Amino acid sequence: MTETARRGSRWQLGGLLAPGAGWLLLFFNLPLVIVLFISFVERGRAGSIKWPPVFTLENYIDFFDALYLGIFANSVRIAFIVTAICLLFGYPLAYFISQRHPRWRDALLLLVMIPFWTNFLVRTYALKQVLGAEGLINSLLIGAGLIPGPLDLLFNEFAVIVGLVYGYLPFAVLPMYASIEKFDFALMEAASDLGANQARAFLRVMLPMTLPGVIAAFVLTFVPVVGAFITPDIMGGGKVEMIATLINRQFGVARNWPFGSAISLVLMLLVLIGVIAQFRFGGEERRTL
Amino acid sequence: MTTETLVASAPTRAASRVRLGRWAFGANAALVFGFLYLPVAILIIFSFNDTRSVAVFTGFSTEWYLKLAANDELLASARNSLVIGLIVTVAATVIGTMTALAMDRHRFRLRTAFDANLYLPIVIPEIVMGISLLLFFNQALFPFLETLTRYRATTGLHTITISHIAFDIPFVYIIVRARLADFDRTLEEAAQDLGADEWLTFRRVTLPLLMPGIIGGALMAFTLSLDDYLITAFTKGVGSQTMPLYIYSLVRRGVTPEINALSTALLVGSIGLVLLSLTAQGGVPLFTRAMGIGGVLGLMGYTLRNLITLLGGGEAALGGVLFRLLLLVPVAWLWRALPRWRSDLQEANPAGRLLAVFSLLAAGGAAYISAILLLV
Repeated sequence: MTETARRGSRWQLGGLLAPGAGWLLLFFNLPLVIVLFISFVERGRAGSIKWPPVFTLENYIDFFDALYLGIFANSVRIAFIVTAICLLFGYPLAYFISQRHPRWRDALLLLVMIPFWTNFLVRTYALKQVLGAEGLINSLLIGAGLIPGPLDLLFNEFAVIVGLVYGYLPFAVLPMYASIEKFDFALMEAASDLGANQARAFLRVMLPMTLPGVIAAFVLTFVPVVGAFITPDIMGGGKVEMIATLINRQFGVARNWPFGSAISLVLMLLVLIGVIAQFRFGGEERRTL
Repeated sequence: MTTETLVASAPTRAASRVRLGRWAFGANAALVFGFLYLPVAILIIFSFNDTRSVAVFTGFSTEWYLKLAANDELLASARNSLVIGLIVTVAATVIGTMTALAMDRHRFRLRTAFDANLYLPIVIPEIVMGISLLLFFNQALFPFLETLTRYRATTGLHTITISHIAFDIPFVYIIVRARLADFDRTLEEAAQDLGADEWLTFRRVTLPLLMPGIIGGALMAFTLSLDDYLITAFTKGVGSQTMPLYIYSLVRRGVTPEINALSTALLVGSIGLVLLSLTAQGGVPLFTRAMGIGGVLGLMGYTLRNLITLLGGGEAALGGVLFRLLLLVPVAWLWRALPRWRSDLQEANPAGRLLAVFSLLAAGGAAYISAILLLV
């Protein structure tokens, strides 16, 4: 390549890269830096920050209060339960889809993918309607004479867990499907020929070989669930607190921006650890999303 | 018991277990799909109920849809969502495509770090991005601009638009980049050997081949912008209402058939957009051209109907008429695209033909409805 051509290519690179890099640096990276800054300064009177800023670690120390640690632990616990349910139902579903005729397989995969792209708010509302006091489930149960009055299916942890499974189950199916589809089922026959029963063949052959997909599914479900806001807010009705609703409260009624910033950064750190772990252990299935 | 029966019973047992296994997997699949789709089906069914109940279906009516069409607050928020969505789509698609080209064709320092940075907005929790933008606008950008210009800016539709572009760029980037990965560079070399300069090669070879990815990315960007609640909620201003914000305020208040009707309309719209996006990414020019033709036909239908009422009513402002005539400019493109589309259509198989017609109708309907909402 001649010197002028290389210089021309440099200019071209600059021109192509500048808008995207500039936009993200200004409206994505810089705002995160500001959150980092605000998380280390003292809170002012009107909820925003003291000016000139007074640096402090207080916001992070406050986080170790039993109340907030409890909310954090609760979110992680709920996210684990939700992810476990998603994997437990998602894995057999992914297996089932992989065993269909190609024509059906594509249709079933489309059915798994459609919820991704439909409005999350609308889907959550659809579930809320079914679980409500006058919703379908309660009406059916009362109509059948099984229960005297409506069950409390909404505005509690149960509702939040059901809502999160409903919202994020498709996230779990796709990476596991990608793994199972590549699995060579002749290996199962080989294991069975060598005397392993079905359960043993599954546990010792199929599960280890599809584990990267399971790990990817775990992370891809756990990460958005632990930071979810809409589901705990609508299905929990203010009675179930998760990290995101806590952050939201710091920027709403509690008006404590520095503390809200500190929690946000802790949440981001948790999520990034998960994502890096997946890149490290999740194999090639990471590209399924 | 003879050895014969022993030998015979073993395979039977195995077969029955296999059958049980199959049955269980089928049941699980039915359960999961039922769980995913039953609530949505119920939502749609009760949007046509003729009473306020969402548990007992008493009769068919379209009353709730008619109420929606007369709801000014809803129409205003739909208009805002559409305007934001269109601006965001154009900006994010252009910027995302440029970024994908830069990352695919050039090697430079910090390339890997920048690639990771492009994935970051997708993985970090939405609420973190929302609050970071809230703090950025109110604590940093606006005070900074105020010291420069003495003008105090506020959040509103413009800040929502800026934020949506920021989270949409990565999605367009990923989709176009995937398309570039399969790109055959020898086609560009062939064009240049035949005497085309770099710009002509880009316009006549690279861009048409990338078009399915670009259109897929654009539709994805549009859907995400149209559906976003959380980041919008943190970057909105006083009185800047979008469709998801409006739905959210309704959903928090309770369950009513109006929300069902609104939700159904939104579901149909976004599923239509996704199907279009998937068809576009399938890569056949038949579909992308069908969408273009549909869009132009939709605009044309709106313009003609509108011009007739404008001219017939007598209250035709010259500016309005000229602006509407401007919408007819793409018709020139239609002239070239239509014959080619029809010959492609004849070569396609029945399923492809059906999909192409669907793409055309969906794009046409979307363009027509958007024009009504935006331009009335």
